[in-house]
Amino acid sequence: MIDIAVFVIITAMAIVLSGLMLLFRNILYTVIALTGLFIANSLFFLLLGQPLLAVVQLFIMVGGISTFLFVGVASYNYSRFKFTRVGVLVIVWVVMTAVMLIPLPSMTFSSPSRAVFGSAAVTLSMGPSVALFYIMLIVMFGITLGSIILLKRMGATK
Amino acid sequence: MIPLEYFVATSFAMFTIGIVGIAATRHFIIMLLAVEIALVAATLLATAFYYFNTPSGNIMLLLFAIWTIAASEAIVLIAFYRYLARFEASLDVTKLSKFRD
Repeated sequence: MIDIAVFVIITAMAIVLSGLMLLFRNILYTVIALTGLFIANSLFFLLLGQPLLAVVQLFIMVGGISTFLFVGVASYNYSRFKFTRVGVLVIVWVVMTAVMLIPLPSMTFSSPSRAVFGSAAVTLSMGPSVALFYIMLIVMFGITLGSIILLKRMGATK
Repeated sequence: MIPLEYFVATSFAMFTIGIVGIAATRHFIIMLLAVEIALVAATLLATAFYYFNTPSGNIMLLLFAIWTIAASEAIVLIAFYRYLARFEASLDVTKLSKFRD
């Protein structure tokens, strides 16, 4: 029960920091939120029994990338922005997450194997219909995002 | 024991935030950082599946590939800072089309 509570706290931390990262108006705060997100991800690795991955994640993501971003942001003073559309972000996030979670209750996962590197393989069962659903979803994501990015690249406005 | 479904749902939610972040913002740096969120969600999902269902392959190769992409992205970002600082350009991606000229 305690591990579930810890998981919920870390999940809330990760999702809130992800959202705040996109909503902060000062990009320095954005980088700080990104650092917190990386730390939350390291905690997830710890929950999954992979301390090595957690340490590597901290070294690479928090140490390397955050320092790079801090140096970049501090050097060139690109700090203010107001471009993120909050309504679009929230609505599309809720809809997309709900759609992605539709097949989850019907999935059957095999029992946990307490995996360590090199332990015996356990097969994962995913029905062809679920796989097809996700393939279609990925194609739709790709087409939608490609169109949006292409429109942005072309300089389209409202 | 935390069920695998919880990790899958969490990584889906984080991945969707990253993908939607790309679509909902016009700020170039935030778009790149949103890609970082999606990459973090991918590492979480891969590690969770590895933990619960050990595959025959090695997870470290995949994770190092993802981390390499993420680190490379940060370097691209720094290069872009320098470029934009030199030309005093906007970070609004809708204005990038003027670089065609």
